[in-house]
Amino acid sequence: MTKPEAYPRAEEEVAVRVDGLKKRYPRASEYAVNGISFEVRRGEIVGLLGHNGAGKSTTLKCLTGMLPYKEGEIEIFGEPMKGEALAAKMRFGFVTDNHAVFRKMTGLEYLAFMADVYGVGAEERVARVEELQRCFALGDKIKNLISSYSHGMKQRICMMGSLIHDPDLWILDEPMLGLDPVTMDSVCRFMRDYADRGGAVLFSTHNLDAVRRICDRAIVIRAGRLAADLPAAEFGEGRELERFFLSDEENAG
Amino acid sequence: MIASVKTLLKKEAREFFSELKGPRKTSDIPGKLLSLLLAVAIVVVACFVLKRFGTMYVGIEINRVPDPYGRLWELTSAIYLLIIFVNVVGGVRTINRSLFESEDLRIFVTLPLSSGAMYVSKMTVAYVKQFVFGFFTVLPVNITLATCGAEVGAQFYGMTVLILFLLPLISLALGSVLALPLYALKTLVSSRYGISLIVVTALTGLAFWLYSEALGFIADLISTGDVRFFFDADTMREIARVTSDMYPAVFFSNMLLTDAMPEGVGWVLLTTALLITAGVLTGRLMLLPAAQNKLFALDSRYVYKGHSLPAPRSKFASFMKKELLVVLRTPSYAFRYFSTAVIMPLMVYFCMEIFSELAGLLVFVNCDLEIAVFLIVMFGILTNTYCAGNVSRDGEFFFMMKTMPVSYRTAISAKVVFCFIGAAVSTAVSVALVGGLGYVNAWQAVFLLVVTLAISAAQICFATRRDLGHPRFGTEAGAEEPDSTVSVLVLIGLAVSMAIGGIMLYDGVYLKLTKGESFGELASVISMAVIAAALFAGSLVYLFKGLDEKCRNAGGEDK
Repeated sequence: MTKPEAYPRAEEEVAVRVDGLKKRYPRASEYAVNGISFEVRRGEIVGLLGHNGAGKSTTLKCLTGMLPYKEGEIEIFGEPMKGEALAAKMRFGFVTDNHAVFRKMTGLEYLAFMADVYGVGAEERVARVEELQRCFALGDKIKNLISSYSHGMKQRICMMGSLIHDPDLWILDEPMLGLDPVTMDSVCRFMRDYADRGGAVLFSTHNLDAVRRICDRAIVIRAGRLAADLPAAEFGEGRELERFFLSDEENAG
Repeated sequence: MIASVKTLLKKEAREFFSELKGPRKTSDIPGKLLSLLLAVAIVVVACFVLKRFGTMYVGIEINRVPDPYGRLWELTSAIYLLIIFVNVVGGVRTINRSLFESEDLRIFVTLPLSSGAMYVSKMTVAYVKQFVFGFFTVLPVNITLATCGAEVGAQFYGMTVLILFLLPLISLALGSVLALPLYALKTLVSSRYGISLIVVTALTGLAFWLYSEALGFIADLISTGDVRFFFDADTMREIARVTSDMYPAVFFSNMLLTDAMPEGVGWVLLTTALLITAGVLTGRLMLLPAAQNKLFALDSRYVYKGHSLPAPRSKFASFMKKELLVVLRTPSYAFRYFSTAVIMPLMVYFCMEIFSELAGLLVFVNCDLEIAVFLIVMFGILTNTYCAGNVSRDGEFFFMMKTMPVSYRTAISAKVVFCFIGAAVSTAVSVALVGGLGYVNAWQAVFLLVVTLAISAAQICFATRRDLGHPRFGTEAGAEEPDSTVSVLVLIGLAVSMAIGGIMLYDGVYLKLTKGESFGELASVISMAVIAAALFAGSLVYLFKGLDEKCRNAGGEDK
């Protein structure tokens, strides 16, 4: 599973295309996501920002097949996400915000399960686990039951599981929650390295520092609608993101 | 402290009533009804048996000298020992749930609440529960004892009321002393999955075997009339000696039946006071460590060490392995999957003997095949409840599965096949047992196996599909989820097995008697085959028709 060293930015392939996505939950009167459109390209790290309940997680859940949707289109590397979408699902790895792992499995058993699901061969999976261990550093604890893991360790095993097949797209829902600064730093560096090798990263977060540090773009969602799509140059090193959030809060208030 | 206790008790009451008033989807109404019916049935049967046995026992004469009060005293002592045992087991369970397994305490421990207030509030709730339990067990038992032939007076009824209040105190106090070591033992054993599974299965099998043997022995005594000779003078003297040592149950017998009532009350009060002191001391001592989860973090002390990276498997095999690991490493699932499967053939074996004899005596027609179908189907449905949580059991992982490149059919089929393997083994053993004991011949055994396996598969498909329609996901994958489907499955299963049993007996008895043996047998075989095939085909259609849509929409259907 070797990747090209780097993809030329000029020929950036569209990894995610969301067009007019609308989602309304059962018994809800309003849309949780109301006509959102955006794209994520290879080599990009895109942060999905918004207040609690803005529609970030719902967007990611529709995007990954976790939630059904009727209105709008989602494509992963040109493959539609309608129906079972097995081809599209092969292309990404997803980390949920609630550690959806089997706590009665050991870390290694969980990784082997995920490798089986994504059809990763015997030698390849050994190499992948070694590579992922270097970044996520679970050490010998990887042989223990997940039920004995701390919050941060569960987050790390989820990330490892989502990357076991070396996907082209990595989607994460609130990945920075509960991570210590060292792990957060290594996750950020892994994301950057992953994107530089041609992968695409899309993650939701409230951590503006992380967005400022690693994101190429920030998509802001407000009340289920796309409020802004800001390239890194626009939020750069300054306080634009904070200013945006404060004004957003005032608007919400 | 009183204000804190009041606040905590109000919270407990609010939680109890909000559970009762909760939305229909979240409250397990069939389960509650089923439990209530089961409890009523157990009490009624126990009182009926006690009445029959008690009347006979109270009338026993030693060297032609009747002593109804002496006999009733012995019987009461034995029964109360049993009641105290059951109450203490219940008390330990209640205390463990209230103190060690309660999430409340983790919140309380951070609040300005004294451990005394926490302890008193939790124990008050436990006392009320035990009192209600005692009201529905002690009261009917005492009323039954009063009607066994020895005349009892106001003392008996007055003391019964006093016992209703005292018994929960004793059992909770004793429970408080025992709860700590038992919880530590339970935690220690339950984290060693293999040992715990073997021990629980062996103990359950042994308990069931002992129960069956005891029941068979008593039935033999009564049916052969040997009961008159069993209770001879020597045996009765031995019984009198043993029952006189049954402390603290003898204090209750004295309170209820003898002139030594004040003495009995005194001893009961003294015992209660001593046990309460010990219980309060132990309970309060262990409360804070329990709340802080320090003393009982045994789960994390023993860490299961897995091996190297497992070899590649197909998606289907990998999902099967996932199911196996969850079962093996969750004691309650392991019990439901393995232990009940071991018990089912035993149940079939014992009931087959009784039903076959009964049919022979009542209708003079051999309908063993029909009885075998009925029993295997009924016990199969009653014991195979593991499949009822097939979807809910995955918890949040069910949603994660939806993001994976695996078809819903593969994931769901793995669950169905995994459940079917367990059910098939116990069904096959039951059939082999029935065949081996000569109730059915070789071809009948094969037919029986096919029919019962088809019904078993139908049950699993039905349960899985129902769970998919009404999933109750726990927060974590592999966490034990609330299972309302179990109650529904048991209720529907009982109705189906009764219906099958009714049709089978109509064919097997009525048609054999009216239209001849061979016609009856043919009709019986055809009916069974048609019913099994219809149930199997129907359940497959029910499960797989629209499965993709159902899985996609589970937990968030778009409007």
